Amino acid sequence: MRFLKDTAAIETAEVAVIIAVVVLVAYGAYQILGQKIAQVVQDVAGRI
Amino acid sequence: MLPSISPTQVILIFLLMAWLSACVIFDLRSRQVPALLTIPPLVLSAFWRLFQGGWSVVILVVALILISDFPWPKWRIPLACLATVLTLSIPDTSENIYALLVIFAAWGLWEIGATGGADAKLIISLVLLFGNGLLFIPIVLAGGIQGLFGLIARKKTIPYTVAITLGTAAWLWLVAVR
Repeated sequence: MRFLKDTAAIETAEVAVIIAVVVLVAYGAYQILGQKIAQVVQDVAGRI
Repeated sequence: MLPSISPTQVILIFLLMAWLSACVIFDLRSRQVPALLTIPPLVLSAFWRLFQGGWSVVILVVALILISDFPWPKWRIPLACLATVLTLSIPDTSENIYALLVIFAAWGLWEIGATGGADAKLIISLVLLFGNGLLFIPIVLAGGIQGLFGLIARKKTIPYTVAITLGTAAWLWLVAVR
């Protein structure tokens, strides 16, 4: 059980910043475009 | 604004913060968190999630733990993607869908070596406990700020358990005052 045995608690500073930026951008885009994305998915699903 | 919480919730929050604080102390001292502080909470929170009906989330966690031992490393992430897509295909609540995505992200970051196993297990335990992946947002925000300070101080690594604790506290505060 490699995952369970790993007790390391290190995080690269650059990675922490990159993850924060990616998550913020993704969440912001979802908040702004979420309704439209859901509508497009519904349209495509309806046509199929 | 002061949140309105019951005495039972105060005790639970106190226990949660005591556990996370213990993890922070070990992390600051040795950049390691003992398995005793990560595995039992992971197992307990998995049982709690099962009890709450979020079995698809627990199935994904078990699958990812097994996939991490897959003998061909280059197949681990594709297999994890497949497991995540399969569990996402099960009709579920939006909270559980966010939880599945965050669990995959936490495991994936560990698998590529971007984060430690203890950090990944703590995040997965918290997501299993609260059943809501949105908890990840304040954690990564706190981690991003911590990472910026780390970069300014020219430190290569940061103790991410601090961000996990502060992010969880912020999320609990937001949930309580909502």
